[in-house]
Amino acid sequence: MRRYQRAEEAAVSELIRLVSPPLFRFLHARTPAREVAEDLLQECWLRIHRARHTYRPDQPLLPWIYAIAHRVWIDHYRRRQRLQSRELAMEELPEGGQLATRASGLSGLLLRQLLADLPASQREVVLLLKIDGLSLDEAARATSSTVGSVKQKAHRAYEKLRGLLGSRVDTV
Amino acid sequence: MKCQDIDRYLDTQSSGLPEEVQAHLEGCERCRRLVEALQSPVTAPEIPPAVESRIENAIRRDLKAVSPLRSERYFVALILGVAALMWVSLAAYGGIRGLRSMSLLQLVAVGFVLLAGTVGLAISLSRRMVPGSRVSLRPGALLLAVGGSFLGVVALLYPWRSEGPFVEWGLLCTGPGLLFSLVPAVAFWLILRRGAILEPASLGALAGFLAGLVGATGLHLQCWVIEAPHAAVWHLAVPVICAVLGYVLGKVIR
Repeated sequence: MRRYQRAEEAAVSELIRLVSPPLFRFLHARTPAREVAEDLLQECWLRIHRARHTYRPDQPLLPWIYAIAHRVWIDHYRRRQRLQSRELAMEELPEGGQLATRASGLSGLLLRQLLADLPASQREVVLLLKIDGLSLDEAARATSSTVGSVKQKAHRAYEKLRGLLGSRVDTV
Repeated sequence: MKCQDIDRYLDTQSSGLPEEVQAHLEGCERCRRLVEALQSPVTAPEIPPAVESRIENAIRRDLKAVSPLRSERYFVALILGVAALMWVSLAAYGGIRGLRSMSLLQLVAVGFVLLAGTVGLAISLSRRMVPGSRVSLRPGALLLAVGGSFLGVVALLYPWRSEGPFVEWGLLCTGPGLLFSLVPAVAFWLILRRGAILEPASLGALAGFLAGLVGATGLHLQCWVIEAPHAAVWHLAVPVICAVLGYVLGKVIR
């Protein structure tokens, strides 16, 4: 990243190859269409490029990148909602059945179905912690939230997942 | 070990099961299924090479060396410097009749709340210039904490009376208070735009509240009306109005 800030051309390719796969997984897990995820990835990189001076070498890189990606996704979501002439608060991102495809970037059918049944704020935290592999602190930084709030959402999500898994077993 | 302990384990671990966790999972089917589901392998989808090269070309076209943003402390000091300069200027031109009208306890308590609020907001603002910074309090909670503390101190230490014309004196305070906030608001905006603003509306509200707080502190230097209703309504109105304006501007500018 320091080399990228110094405008070293080789660093650009290296960074894109290194960071794009987790970024794409992050975006594709939240957006249904692959084409949209690809557009968001490009938008994400443009914002990373514009904000590159704000990265401080003594700070962790992942939360910095995921915070930008998180905002790209939120802006995309709000834009889409405006187009659909609906007003929804951030905490009330779409839930339920229509989200079965939202996690289509993930392999593992069970996890995909389970995540689709979680409320959006809880699903976001589980995705960051368990799919993107962030720590509690990193997930809190990426979502401009506190560690306590992330932990609370994660624990509620785990409890709900237990219930969902139980009901699946019961129905089989 | 209880199921809640498994949640705590899941907070920190993604692979490798300690013995005590394994023992619990053997006896608890709900937790076992949860851990298995969360540890199931996830693969990242392939990115088409054309997309990657498009990104790379776009970045290369605009590749210039940049200096990393200066430290958080630098920006906190800059923001506090603007506030201090404003207060010294107001004291030099308008005097400190307000401070002289207060008792020592009122002076210390109100001064502490206003200064602590200013420092807290300055730290929060300078963190929000950088994506992925650590957040201790959400903006709404921070504004409530500062505003609530001010109200609490005024309600406890100022006399509950209103001897003069409430509205007329109030407007004589809120108007200049808003004017005092204008210079810090512009200065904070110039400082903040050096960072990356991800949430312009909430950042606008925070910056507006801080500018208003600087203005309200200026009012306390000069306002001789030591009455709880006056300070609670007309002095607090300054940061609240500025926060609303900052929020609206942030929404518009985004």
